[in-house]
Amino acid sequence: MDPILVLASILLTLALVAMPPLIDGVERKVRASIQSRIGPPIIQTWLDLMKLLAKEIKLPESSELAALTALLSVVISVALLCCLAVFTAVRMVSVGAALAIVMLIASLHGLSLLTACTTANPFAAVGSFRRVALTIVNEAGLLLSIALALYSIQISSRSLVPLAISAAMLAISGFANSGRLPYDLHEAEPELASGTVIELSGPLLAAEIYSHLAERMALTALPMYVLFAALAKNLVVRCLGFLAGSIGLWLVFAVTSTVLGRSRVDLAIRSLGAVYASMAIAWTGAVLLC
Amino acid sequence: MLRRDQVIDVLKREMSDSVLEISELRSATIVSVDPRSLPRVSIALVALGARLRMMVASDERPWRACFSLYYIYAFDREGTNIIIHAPLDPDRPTAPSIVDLVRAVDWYELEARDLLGIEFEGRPPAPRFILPDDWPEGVYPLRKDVSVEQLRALYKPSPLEEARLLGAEEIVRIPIGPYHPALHEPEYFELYVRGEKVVGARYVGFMVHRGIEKLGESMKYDQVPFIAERICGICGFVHSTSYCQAVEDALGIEVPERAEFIRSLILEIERVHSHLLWFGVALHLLGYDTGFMHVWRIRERVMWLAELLTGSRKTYGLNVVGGVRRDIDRDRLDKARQVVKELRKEFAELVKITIDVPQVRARLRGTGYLSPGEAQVFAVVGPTARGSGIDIDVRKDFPYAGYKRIRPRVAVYSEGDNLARTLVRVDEVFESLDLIERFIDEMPGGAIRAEKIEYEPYRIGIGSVEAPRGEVIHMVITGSRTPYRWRVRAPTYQNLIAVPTMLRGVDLADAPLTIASIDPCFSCTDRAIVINVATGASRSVSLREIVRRRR
Repeated sequence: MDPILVLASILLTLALVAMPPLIDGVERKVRASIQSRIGPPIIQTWLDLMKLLAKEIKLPESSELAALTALLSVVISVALLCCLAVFTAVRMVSVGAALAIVMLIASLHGLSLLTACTTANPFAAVGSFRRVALTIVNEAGLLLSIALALYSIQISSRSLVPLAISAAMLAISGFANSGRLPYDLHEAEPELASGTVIELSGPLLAAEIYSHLAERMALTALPMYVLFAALAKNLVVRCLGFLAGSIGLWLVFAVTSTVLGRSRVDLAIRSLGAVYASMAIAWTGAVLLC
Repeated sequence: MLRRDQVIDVLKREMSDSVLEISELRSATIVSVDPRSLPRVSIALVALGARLRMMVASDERPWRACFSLYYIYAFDREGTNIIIHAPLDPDRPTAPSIVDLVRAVDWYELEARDLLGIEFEGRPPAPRFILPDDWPEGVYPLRKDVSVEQLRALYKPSPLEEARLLGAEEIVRIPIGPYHPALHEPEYFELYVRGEKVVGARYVGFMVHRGIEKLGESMKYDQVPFIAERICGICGFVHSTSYCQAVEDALGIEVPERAEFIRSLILEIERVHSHLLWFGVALHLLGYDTGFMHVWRIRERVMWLAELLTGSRKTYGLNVVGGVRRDIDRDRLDKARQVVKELRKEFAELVKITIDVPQVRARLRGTGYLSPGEAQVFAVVGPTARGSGIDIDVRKDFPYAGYKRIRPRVAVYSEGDNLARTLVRVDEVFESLDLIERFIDEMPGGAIRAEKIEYEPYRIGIGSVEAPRGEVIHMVITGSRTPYRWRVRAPTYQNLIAVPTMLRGVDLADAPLTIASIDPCFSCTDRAIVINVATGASRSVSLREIVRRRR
């Protein structure tokens, strides 16, 4: 393989792995600014993680699997970021690449559900069932949008509209999957408090938080991967565009969630279903017209 | 429209054998009746359209050799109070329960049983309501033969010591709080859910009874307003005003008009900051934290305004019997007017943005429904009543202080849902800002305190104020140096009873907001509840049992 591509893959992977807590810090600053607050320093999320890592490991009484699932989550989320970085750098857009990404995202969701379901905490259980309901609808949207994106890339020489629609669908599913408002239902009302992670502390909580942020990064970067890997032939433009686009979309998500309230599980499922259906119809129309 | 004398005529005509005596007070008429006729009298009053404002139980053995029950009924539209007084046997105080006829009396009867040992016939046996489980049997704290000092010596809650005695070092692991469904105050709601739908609810409260009424009976008249203001951590001024008005009503004290205007001015400022607090918390419960933060920013200016006018952000220490302790100079009033103008503009912008957020509107509309009929049966008050189409407001129905001259416009919505209660409060903020300006502009000059006050024993007075959460009512029976009996009824006491009904059928996600929609103010703490998952049955457990189970 071209050593420049290898170097680009490594640099992009490092950037993606290091960035999530930092961009979360930027998100907190943006949110604070909209809410007339000063907000914490940009590196606060990193500082929080380091402090949690320095604490003793304490396993939840009723959920001994938590340590395993938290560590596996970190490994899988980092693997997901690696895949996205490498696929973008080497411009790999194929069914195989898509399947690898879908498998890793599904594994992450499966693990977080396992963490939630194995706890004896009833609040975490309520949160996890909400998450299951939302994930089922959203995962269907994600799969559909990836399939549509793959087909759109093949016909991108005729029209870019289907690709844009499928990328927008990917962005919406990424937004809903990221657990931001209005879809933070698994840790929704005050009685659920910290939702599914209520029983975790110290390094386990740090692992859970990091994997959650890394997953956010991956879900935000996914539409950018589709767009830049498909369209940008120049390596520098592709890699920088992918990075800048991912950060930009993350911040758009941050602003959007700040000006919205929390949905309810029935409303969320209905509204997401309606959005995916209408976008699929729009995509079909665009394909038929091009 | 019924005047007070017409109601009395009806009672005399229909219950001539039961009416013992009729006496007139400044703000009410007291009709003494035979206790056995209480159900008949209640039916007659409810049929005439009366609303139960409060029930007061009192130990009057040292005064007139009996226990007494006072049922304060209101005819709101006519601004009329009728007090039904039932003297009870001093040795075996018993009265028929009227809970089947007047649903709102439920908690009052239980409270009178716990605190004064009055038995109500016809009620099914119920566990202790206010007193803790380990309170000694046969000791009734509001009886006159028990002093505050004796109570202090008799009972000290000491859960930690008791836990250590039982060898329970790990007692801290019992999860009693701090997570609660709605506001971050000690409270306990048990929700029974099927899927995400609430099918039933139960409230357990009154774990920390502070004994303020008893304490007030050992304090001088002018010391009580300071403790009355500490009843509520948000709107304490309503309690000191209400107490002072009750004493002034009992003794026929004329309060200077300037003092009345100052009281009303501060009451409206308190309403604005309380409603803003509620609005912020409601938005937080709806997950719209941006709105929450902006409400807090605006509310800070109201707190500054309170400090400008009274010297304190909260707990102003301004009220005394007969007036207020400090005057407010013109410079400060002018500054306040400017702040109010800016507040109105900022709040209008905020409301426009927040109410239009799709998730906020979707989750407020149609949730936490309380029909007008149910609102009437439970005798709810304040925005909870006005959100269900019940047009009651003490400022309008029983004008007091500055509202005798300046009448407020009362916001009423008939939808009965969380949105209606929100809109009532939003409208009230705007109305309060208008009222503040009018109180500043039209404030008369002159004295701020009645000159000479003579305290006569055994006079009865009522003081009521429209607090942000609804009607606060205090009743005072005077003593020679201290109040003989002081009864406080806060609006949450009246509204809380309706919450399980409001919760029925809502989604679990909307339950915290529905509970918060009455703007509850709790003074209690949780106890552990054991729930049998298989059968769904639940029961309270004592600390001793918890410790035994831990072993």
